[in-house]
Amino acid sequence: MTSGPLSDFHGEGSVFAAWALRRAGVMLWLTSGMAVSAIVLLIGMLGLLCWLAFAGDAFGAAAGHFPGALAVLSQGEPPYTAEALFSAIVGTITVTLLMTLLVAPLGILVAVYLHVYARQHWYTDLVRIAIHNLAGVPSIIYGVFGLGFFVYWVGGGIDELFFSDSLPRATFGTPGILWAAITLALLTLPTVIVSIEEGLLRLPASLREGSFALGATRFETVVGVLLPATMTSVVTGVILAVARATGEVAPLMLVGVVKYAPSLPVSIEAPFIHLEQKFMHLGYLVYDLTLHAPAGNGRVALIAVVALSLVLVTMSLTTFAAVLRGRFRYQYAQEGLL
Amino acid sequence: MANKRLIIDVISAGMIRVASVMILLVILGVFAQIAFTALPLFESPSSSVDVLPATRAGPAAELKVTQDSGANDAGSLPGLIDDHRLALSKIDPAAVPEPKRGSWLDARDTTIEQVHLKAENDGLVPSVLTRYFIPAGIQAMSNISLSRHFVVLDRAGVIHVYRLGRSQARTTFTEEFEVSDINRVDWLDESTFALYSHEEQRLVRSVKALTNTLPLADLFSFRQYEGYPQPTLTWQPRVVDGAESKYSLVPLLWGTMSAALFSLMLALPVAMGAAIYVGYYMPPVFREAIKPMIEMIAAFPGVVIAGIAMLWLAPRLHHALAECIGIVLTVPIIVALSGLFLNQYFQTQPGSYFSKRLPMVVVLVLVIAIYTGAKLGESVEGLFFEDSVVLWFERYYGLSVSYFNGVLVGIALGIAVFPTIFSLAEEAIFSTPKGAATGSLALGASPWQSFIDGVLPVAAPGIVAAIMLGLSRAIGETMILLLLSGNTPIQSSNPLEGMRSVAATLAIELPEAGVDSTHYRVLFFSALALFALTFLINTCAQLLKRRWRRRYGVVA
Repeated sequence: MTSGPLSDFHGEGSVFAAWALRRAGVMLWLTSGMAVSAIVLLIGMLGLLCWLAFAGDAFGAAAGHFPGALAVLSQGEPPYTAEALFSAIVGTITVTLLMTLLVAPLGILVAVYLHVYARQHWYTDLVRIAIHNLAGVPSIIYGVFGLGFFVYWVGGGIDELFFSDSLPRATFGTPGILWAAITLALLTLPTVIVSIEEGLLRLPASLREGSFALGATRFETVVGVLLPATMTSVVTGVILAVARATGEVAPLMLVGVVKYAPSLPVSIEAPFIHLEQKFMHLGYLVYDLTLHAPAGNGRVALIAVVALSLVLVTMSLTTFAAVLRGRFRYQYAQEGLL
Repeated sequence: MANKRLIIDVISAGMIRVASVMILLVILGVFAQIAFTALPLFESPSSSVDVLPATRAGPAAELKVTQDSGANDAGSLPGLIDDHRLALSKIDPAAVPEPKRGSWLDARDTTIEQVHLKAENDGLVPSVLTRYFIPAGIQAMSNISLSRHFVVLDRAGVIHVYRLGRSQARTTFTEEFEVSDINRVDWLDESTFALYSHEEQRLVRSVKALTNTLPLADLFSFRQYEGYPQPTLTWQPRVVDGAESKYSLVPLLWGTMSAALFSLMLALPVAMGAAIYVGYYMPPVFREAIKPMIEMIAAFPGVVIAGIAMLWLAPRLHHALAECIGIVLTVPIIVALSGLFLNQYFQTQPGSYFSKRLPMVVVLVLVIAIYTGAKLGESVEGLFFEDSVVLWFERYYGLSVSYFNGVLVGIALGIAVFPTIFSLAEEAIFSTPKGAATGSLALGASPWQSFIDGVLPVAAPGIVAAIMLGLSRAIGETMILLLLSGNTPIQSSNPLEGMRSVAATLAIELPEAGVDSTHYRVLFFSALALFALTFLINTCAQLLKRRWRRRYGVVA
């Protein structure tokens, strides 16, 4: 061995250093093993769901494949019928759409306010930190708030004002799809605000300044320049919100989801969308089927199918949002503005 | 024209300001609303006693009962043991005539100065639980309300409202009464009691007392409950047969924290390992593909993970516990040993032929390691544990094992918190300035030494923040705990027993709790505690991240 810095590692006298070099290899192996097992976990869970849904029943019961799941629906007891599955799908879509209708404009409003209108003080910073944190508050807390504030307080108030003739029976003072949608909107609002504000921050200052220089008012700048330019971040935020909302069950259990709703929240009758009704939800259906449905006969397959569809919806939405976000960054990097 | 544009601008600016401030207030008001619902729980009832006008007369039947019991035959009254002692026996609604729930005393005897609370312990000799001293002497006393309160009017005209089982009065408030006038106190409903005058057979006054209150200490300290041999920490809010409701948040907090701990024990090593590999060792080209893939685990909603775990894992866990432990213990050892071995005989430094095919080799080694671990666990179980670890521990150590247990919850919750920890920790490691690692490498340190001494000190705040956010996610997760924990409010550090978490309790019990009842408020208080805890953890994590960002000027 020649002398020099490297000889410390290869010289026979330095056992510890040689061991340290090998340790590098060990840690490389260990950490890569963890990374691979994470991917194995992902593929394993997806595969398990597919296997449970399409290949065989976990309990080896008869008809435990996908046709079996359909058979459960065609001959099952009242809460577990094809109509119920349809009702759950409609309920999920309706509540998510209502939530989107609420959360998109509100998110834009608050983000634009924070970025353009509010003076940048320590308290705007505080509000920002609070919003960031609210995105991490457990969803059940929003459910508790929704129940106490919207259902009992606001709903009770509406009942007393407008539906006093039918009062012992609550109309809006009881959990329903409107309260569920508002609660979900509140739950996802921080995510949307953060996403849109990040998008606005990434816009080059020249866009805003150029618009002002041409004599546009603040409102015109926001509506005509800033929002169109950051549309991808708006869409990304809303998609992330929808992805999060489809998976949430816990808050809905408090503010309006039920095991079985005899009628859909949307119909061709007068108000078309019945905001005071209780509704069914796919996520809750998974919970309810897992806990209460009679065992065997494709129950597991049915649960797996519903769960798989939920996971796939969330996955594709998340991927779409990631792609959009990537393109957005790329676009401004291309123009040399970022 | 310009005027119109300016007007639109001013009006829109005002509207945006007002609307967003309102929305922000609603978001930030979540905390305030929960607090305002929960905190009246600890109010001292005396401060907000609302004396109603006497027009709310009690039903005639109740007055009649007064007259019947007015016979001064104290010895025949249920519950009166002698002149000085009163036994309030366990409430049995069926045994007592309808208007009187429990035993009561029409006490005119000046010698009576104390109320002794006794509990009948399933037919055993009643024992004195608590005694109440009423120095002025008892003028009249009510029966026990549904919410376990009773009222004593003393000879000085002071009304005491007691909660059963407590040693001193929570509520003492004075009213100017013609004391000689009133000889009966009784509950009209759960929170209103009435003072009756015997001679004139009329209701003198009805008083609304806030009985849906609890002292804060009740939620966190040992309490003596009826029929229990010693003070306990128990969560049992809904009880039948009029027994006492038990609101101790300690078992719930214990369950929440132990579930979070189990999940972190499983998720942390894997998440950190994966984060170090992806953020530090892996070439950035691969990273862009691998990282979003691993983050896809976040797309599994809690309810789906819980469903899979309940349907597929739970039935297997009992039989496969030894295999699982074997895998957990063996895999790191085998992987490390094979790493040592391969490192000895092949060139595994970054960039070499071998390291480019590392993932394939790792998969192979992992499969072998998992298989060996499982077999090893199985054979060890067969040799030393009489074919079943679970039964062996049950037999020789009296360890109780339940179907839904901490291990199951830990695995499922670990999967749920894994993406949070991985994603943020990886971000922290990857976005440390590259000089930290390359400088160290150039000076001859091994990659791992460079990581430990160069990268880790810089990335540490971000990693700590990631772990904290993972913890707060684990604390707040509801569906997994709801389905897999068995929801038994016991306090045990045995990972093979069930637990009950705060979040799951909220989901189960809140829809059924009556608005503004004690139960409702206790649940809101537990929600407040959960909120405050997660908000605190998140804020600390945020501040750590901000400081870290400012110091190293990285955007993450």
